[in-house]
Amino acid sequence: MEFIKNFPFFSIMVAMLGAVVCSVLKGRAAKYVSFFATGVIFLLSLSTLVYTCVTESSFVYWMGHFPAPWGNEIRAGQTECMTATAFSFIILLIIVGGARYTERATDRSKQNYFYILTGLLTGALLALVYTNDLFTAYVFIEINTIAACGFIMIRRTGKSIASAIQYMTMSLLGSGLVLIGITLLYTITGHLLMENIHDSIKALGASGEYRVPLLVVIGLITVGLAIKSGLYPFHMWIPDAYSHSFPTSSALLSGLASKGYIFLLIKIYYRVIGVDSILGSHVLTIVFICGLIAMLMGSVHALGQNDIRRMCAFCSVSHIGYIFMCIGLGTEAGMSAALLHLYMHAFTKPMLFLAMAGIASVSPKHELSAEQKEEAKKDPLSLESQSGEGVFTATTIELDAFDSYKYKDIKGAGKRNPFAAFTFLVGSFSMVGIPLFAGFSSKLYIAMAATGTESGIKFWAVMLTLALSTILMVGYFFRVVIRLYQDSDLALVEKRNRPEYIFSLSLFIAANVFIGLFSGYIIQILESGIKMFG
Amino acid sequence: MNYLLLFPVLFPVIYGVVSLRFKNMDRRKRKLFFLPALCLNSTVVFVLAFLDLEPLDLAVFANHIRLSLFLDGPARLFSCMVAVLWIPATIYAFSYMEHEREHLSKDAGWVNSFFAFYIMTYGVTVGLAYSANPLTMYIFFEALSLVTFPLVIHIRDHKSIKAARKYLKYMLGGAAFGFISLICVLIAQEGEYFAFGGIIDVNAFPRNLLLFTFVCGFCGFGVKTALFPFGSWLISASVAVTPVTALLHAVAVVKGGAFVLIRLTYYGYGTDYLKGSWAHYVCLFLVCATILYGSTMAVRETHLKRRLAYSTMANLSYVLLGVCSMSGLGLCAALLHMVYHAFMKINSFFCVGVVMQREGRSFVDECNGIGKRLPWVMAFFTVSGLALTGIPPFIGFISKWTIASALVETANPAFYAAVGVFMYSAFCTAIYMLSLATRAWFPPKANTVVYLEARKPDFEMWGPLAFFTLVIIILSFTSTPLVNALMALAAG
Repeated sequence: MEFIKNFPFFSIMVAMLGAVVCSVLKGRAAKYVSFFATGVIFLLSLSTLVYTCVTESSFVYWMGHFPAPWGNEIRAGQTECMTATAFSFIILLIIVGGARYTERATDRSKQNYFYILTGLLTGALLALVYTNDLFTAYVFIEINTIAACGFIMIRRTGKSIASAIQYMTMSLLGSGLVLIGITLLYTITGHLLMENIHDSIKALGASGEYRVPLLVVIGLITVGLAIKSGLYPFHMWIPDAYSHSFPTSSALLSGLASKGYIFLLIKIYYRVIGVDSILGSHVLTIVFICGLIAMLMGSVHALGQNDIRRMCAFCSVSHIGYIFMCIGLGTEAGMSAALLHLYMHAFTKPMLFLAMAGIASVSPKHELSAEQKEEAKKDPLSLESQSGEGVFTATTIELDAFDSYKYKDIKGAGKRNPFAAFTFLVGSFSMVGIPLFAGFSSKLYIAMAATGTESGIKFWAVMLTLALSTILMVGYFFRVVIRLYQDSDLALVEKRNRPEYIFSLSLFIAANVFIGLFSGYIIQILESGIKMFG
Repeated sequence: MNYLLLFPVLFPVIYGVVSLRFKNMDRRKRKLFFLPALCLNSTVVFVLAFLDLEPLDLAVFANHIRLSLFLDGPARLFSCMVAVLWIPATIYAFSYMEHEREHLSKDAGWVNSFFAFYIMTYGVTVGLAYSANPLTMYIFFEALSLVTFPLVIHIRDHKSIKAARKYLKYMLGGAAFGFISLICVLIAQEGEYFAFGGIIDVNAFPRNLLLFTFVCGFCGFGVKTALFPFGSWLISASVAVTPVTALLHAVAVVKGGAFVLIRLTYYGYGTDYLKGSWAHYVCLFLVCATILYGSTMAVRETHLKRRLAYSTMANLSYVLLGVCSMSGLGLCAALLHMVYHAFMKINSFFCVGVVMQREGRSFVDECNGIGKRLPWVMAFFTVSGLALTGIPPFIGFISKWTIASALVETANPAFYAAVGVFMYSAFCTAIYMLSLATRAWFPPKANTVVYLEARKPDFEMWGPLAFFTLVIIILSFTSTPLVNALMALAAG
């Protein structure tokens, strides 16, 4: 059984190796290698999860068997393993279900790029989840950013490149802040391993030294990771990034790319700085307030959209707010509610994005005029016009012209593509928080966590904001759902979904219902995992 | 054995989902398909009502977070009421929807999907009745909003889409506020199942906080009973077809809301804890405001269905008035009016439905002299109008008398004022119900306008009407057993 302790390390390595292998393969082969690698990672993570749950323990793994402070460490407990399992499962479902869209959106000779990026993203996410070392964390934060950026840019239209640059700018600002935070922490404590830093901070707290620098460190790391995961005042990059990339990458970005940072933040709070110092610093109060504002403002913006992808992107802003608000509660119940909500969102958003792709594929086609195409070719932001790959540009623009996500065009899509519309319906139910779906159980635990806080103001703020944001979400999600099931004048075109698309979306739906019904077990595992964090 | 409780909840839902697949049933096949299922389900509900079953735990997530069904007094009453009403209402709908289909030139699938959702609603309503704890009740409460939504939007024209969006926003929004009180009850819950007198540990939270959550719950769940100022969805939803407005927006959905509030007050928080608190007076105030608003607007309104919708609003608040008196007699009065109003209102709605569909008249002033054209239908309407006004010996008088005596029994000046509001509302009821009957029988001037070529209502339409009228008359003279049973229930 000791052998299982190698698995977290293996899974990171498999992801990275998969990416390397994909770089020398052609599109189709790269696709299968990527599927296989992600499947293996899922099984590895699952067996580690079972191991940690059965033994109810956590373990620290020395990479290359060098002890600290020279060696690099991985820590795997129940929380980490659960997150890794969920993440790898979701990645698998997304790349399988979205394979068709990947083929359509990228040039055939470059399809392997997408799977390289997937491998990098998987590796980075797993490393962020497992790492026990702040510097490794920083390195993988950057790898995660680069992979995410690649996902936005891979479509190679003017708009996607513009939004990739926007994303890059905001993200680098975030990583810069995190880096400064880590550097300060290193100069104060002289360590990079989480446990060592934790011990020194305890000693510093007892002696009362370095109060202000520590506060600055907490602030910098929190703000840095908040920017990278798109908390409310820093959310500007989210809508463009999600709506200008193609469906598979929007699904990966919305479901996973920002979630690794949030998990890292929780880990840093518990394992590096310690909850007591965090609570003393009032940074959590600010996180809490930002989360509350995000919950409302994300939804308010979403109400004003006329494009379902942008609507869902703003809905993400609101759900990131939910997660940060739970973290801001500062209790263990709050943290596990935050993680449950994180899972729920990670399972639901990709499902919604893939469903929307199916819906949009049967919406009326809007051909671009010849002038518009000409203009698009001349677009200075388009890489192709510089490198001269004119054919590829044309196919990309054609794609833009085909799939319309506008409200006016999706009318009646429920009849044209019933499966995709049904999936969207389930996703909306989950997001709004209808009982028996994932969203309800996470909302339930959020509210119960709120009753556990000391202050009555926090309780009421959470309760009322939850109610208001639910009403807002009903407003925009059901507006779309009604549109989907309206009668339209369009001729019924028989739309056959690919089997892998149906397979992956059905599993997403099943996962949603599973979380909705069995959230109690998940919460138990999470709570015992978080207890072992300290 | 107690797994039988699942049957009347799941069977109609599954049956409805399956029947969505059959798109091309004609009228005869449709009848053969749906009626036996309905009769079977109602029979099971009746049989269960006479059995003594253990509560059934479907799933246990955590300590108090579990899904359970059980049967107690109010559950028996509510489920039996639904079981009695659903069959005649569906029979009426067979004829009504067939004509509506011809009128709107829709296909058979349109009618079939209507009945599919209609039968699903049955299951969900019974589920609401059988819910054994707040969480289960909340789940069925939400499900009831969702499953009736396709029925509201069923005509799918601009007006009904607008009304349906409003419906959904109000329903789910209300549930979102009800969620606040659900959470507090879940945390403070002591017993596992609803019990008369309350199940919460009153010391789990500060008193004012708990009372505030009660007000949130009262308003949130009260959205379904069209509590002022959250009741305008009920008026907009009257654009739906008549079987929906009659059975759902006069009985199942709105009574479901009233049932939830009865559970919350008597079986959740407990009346001993609430009585005399500020929350009690806030609720009483809202209820009285609803009665005043609903009755006054019903007099002003000239559209037939909307007039009845305003009347429903006021009458539901009579039920809540019984709830607000927070005594055993009040509970008895609330349940009694819940049942009696169901029969009276569904009958009036169905009569108006005949007038609107078969004669093409939808405003009060168009109904002059209609008694000559539809003598039986208008006779049935007059009976339910008299009963609703509260003329002795009809059933409306019995339930209203009980409510008034429950209010007087509290010996509290605020409740005497409520009795005044109650009297005003009875006066308004006489105007808005009986003015229509008077116009029908004794037209002020001869009606010269020629309306649609009238199609006589067939047996499927007037049969249910006759049945309801008969029930009203029989209940009027033999209500003692029911009242006694309810008094026994309210005694604990």
